[in-house]
Amino acid sequence: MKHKMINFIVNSFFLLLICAVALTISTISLTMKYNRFQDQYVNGIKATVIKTVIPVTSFTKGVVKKVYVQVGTEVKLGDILVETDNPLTRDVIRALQQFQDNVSAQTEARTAQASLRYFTITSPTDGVVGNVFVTEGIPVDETTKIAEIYSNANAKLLANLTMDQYVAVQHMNSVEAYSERLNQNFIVKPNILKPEQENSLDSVEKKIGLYLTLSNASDAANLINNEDLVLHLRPLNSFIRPVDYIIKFWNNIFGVANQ
Amino acid sequence: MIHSNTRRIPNTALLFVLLAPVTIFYYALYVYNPIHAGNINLYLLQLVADTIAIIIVSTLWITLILDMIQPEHNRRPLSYDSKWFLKEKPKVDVLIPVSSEPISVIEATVKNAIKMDYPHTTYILDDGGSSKVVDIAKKYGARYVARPKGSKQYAKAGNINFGLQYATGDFFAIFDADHAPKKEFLTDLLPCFQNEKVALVQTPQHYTNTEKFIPSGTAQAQEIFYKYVQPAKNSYNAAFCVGTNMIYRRKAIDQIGGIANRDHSEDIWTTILLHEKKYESIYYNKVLAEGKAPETIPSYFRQQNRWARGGFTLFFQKNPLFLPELSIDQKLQYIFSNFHYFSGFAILIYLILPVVYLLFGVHPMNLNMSGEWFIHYVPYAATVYLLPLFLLQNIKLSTISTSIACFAPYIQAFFSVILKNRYHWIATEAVKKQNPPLIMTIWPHILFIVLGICAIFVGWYNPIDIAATTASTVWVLINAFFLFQFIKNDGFSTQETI
Repeated sequence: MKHKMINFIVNSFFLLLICAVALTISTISLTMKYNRFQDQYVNGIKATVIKTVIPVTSFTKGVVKKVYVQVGTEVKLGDILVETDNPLTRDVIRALQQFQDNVSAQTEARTAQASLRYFTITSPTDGVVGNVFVTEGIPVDETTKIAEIYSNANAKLLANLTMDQYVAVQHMNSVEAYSERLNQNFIVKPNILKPEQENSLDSVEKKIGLYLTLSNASDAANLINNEDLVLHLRPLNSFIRPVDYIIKFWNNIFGVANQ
Repeated sequence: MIHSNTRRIPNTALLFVLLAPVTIFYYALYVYNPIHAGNINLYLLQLVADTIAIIIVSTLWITLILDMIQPEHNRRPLSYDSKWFLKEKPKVDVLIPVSSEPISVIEATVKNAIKMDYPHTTYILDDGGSSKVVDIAKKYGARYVARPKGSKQYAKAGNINFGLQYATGDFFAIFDADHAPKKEFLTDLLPCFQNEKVALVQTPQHYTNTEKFIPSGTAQAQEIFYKYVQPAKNSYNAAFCVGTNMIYRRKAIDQIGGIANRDHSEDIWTTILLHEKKYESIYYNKVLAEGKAPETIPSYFRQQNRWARGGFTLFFQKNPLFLPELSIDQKLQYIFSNFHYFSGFAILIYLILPVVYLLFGVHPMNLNMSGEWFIHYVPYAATVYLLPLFLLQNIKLSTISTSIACFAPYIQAFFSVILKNRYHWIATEAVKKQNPPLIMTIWPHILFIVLGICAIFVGWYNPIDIAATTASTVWVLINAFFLFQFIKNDGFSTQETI
């Protein structure tokens, strides 16, 4: 009888001990998972905005007469960027126009006149002026680069993902990208893989480059080239769940900063 | 010819023989390709487990197929005159080593042993020193032999060797106290000894208490051994003694200096010594004694631990592969039997891996091709897990349960052999006064169940890979269910037996 009692007590004690060990292991692993999740999926993923750069060149010889834009100016398709002029061309036209009866002279005059409209250089796309290479009074020829426009069309985001993150993204139709600068979320969609792999220096793990496209193309206007957004692979929890207390408990013990 | 009726191979067993190499090869091609590795440490563990499992299934497969493709006339010629012993009238002794089994069990065995046909002398070799056993001996007219206190070395082997100082017959049969022989035991087996080279005739162990959970599982696992493996071993003159329900030739045993003095598994050691002396062993595939399988977890684990120790000591201390006197067939068959006990490690690894995945998100294989893994794994797993279904045409929950649960005694046995711990022999069904609390024997199983359930919750907190998480969850649940059944059917309260 006494032996049975002892057996019962020992059995119960060890049963409780086993449960305690199992709970400890599992809650620690849960905390690790949570922290890793925070690192990998909530805080960690940067996505860089990549816009297409469109160079603008002068088509004619001349001198820059007026620059309408500066770096950062938002432009629409057809907006005037720069006006150039070439007094020589104008003089030639005027001289040729005096020969009213000479067909050949008239043709030449018209041809020259046609080139006049290339003195007005307009933006080839919607976007932002990235660079202006000329100032007023500078002579230009047919190949001179006038400016660079960061186009709003085909704006992409590039994110370098670990394998786990990539698997997670694959299972999502759309991802939220947060811009701290604008305090605004953008919906983006996974598009295609970057053909080469990145070796990140801070970790041994290789990362995969993934391009994401904006699901609403007009958002591109607000984003700056090379700007970093943060990808949210899961919606952030705004309320405290029971599980958070466990996580806080272990993080306090192990001295991990709570996010 | 004897037991020709047992050669009938069921179609499902043929199916296993055909399917196993395909499924195993298909899986091995995938698993052994390092391209598919995930976490390198876990991958190595997985390789260890798979290698053990594949070797065990392959050895069974080789044994089966080598035996199957033997034409009838190439099998061992075991011709004998079934009446020779009636003319020559050899003296036969029956030894019943007793430790501290329940009196009713001992009595049943003694009663049946006395009643066997053919004149014989029955000896009760009592190591327990109980006056009740003396009474039984008197009641049935058996001789009572007890070792003096203080000289009880080498457990059962020592006990039998002591008894052999009194028994002087030409042959002696041994029955464990919980294995009651049938009437025709001696008359059926003695004919096999007409050939002077035959030193041992073994019959199957048969359990009658299969209405209980653990015995029914053990019985089915044993059935594969006695229905397929031992007959195949018999073809190669490599059938070995299983400790009870057999007859030895006294002359042969004397030549090797008595039963091998071991604390445990003296049976297989003795057989090896006999084979080294070029003696032959016969497996007689007919149930001629009925026994009791261990019913409680502690006694089941003690039994498994004892067997596993036997396998491991042989493997590490007297590896059959390096015994020059054995034939190549015998070497292979012995090593196959020894290797079986490494399965403990494979089972443990298979249990742990999905839990580790759920808890820590690390996996042995590259799960970005999880579909590919699944396709390779399922046929292989089915072949391994449904083995009893193929070979015995039915599979019991208890078989899988008990097979999974015995990873603990196997691994325990491995480490005791490696660390050379002393072994204290306790009979299978012996009631020990001071039973250690049950939790001491099954804590790994309970820990697995509890941790497994917790791991499922952790795994489903923000799961990254739904498919892999689902697969792991199902796997953990299945294993936990089997282990739970195993524990539940013994229970914490029913420790006392009979």
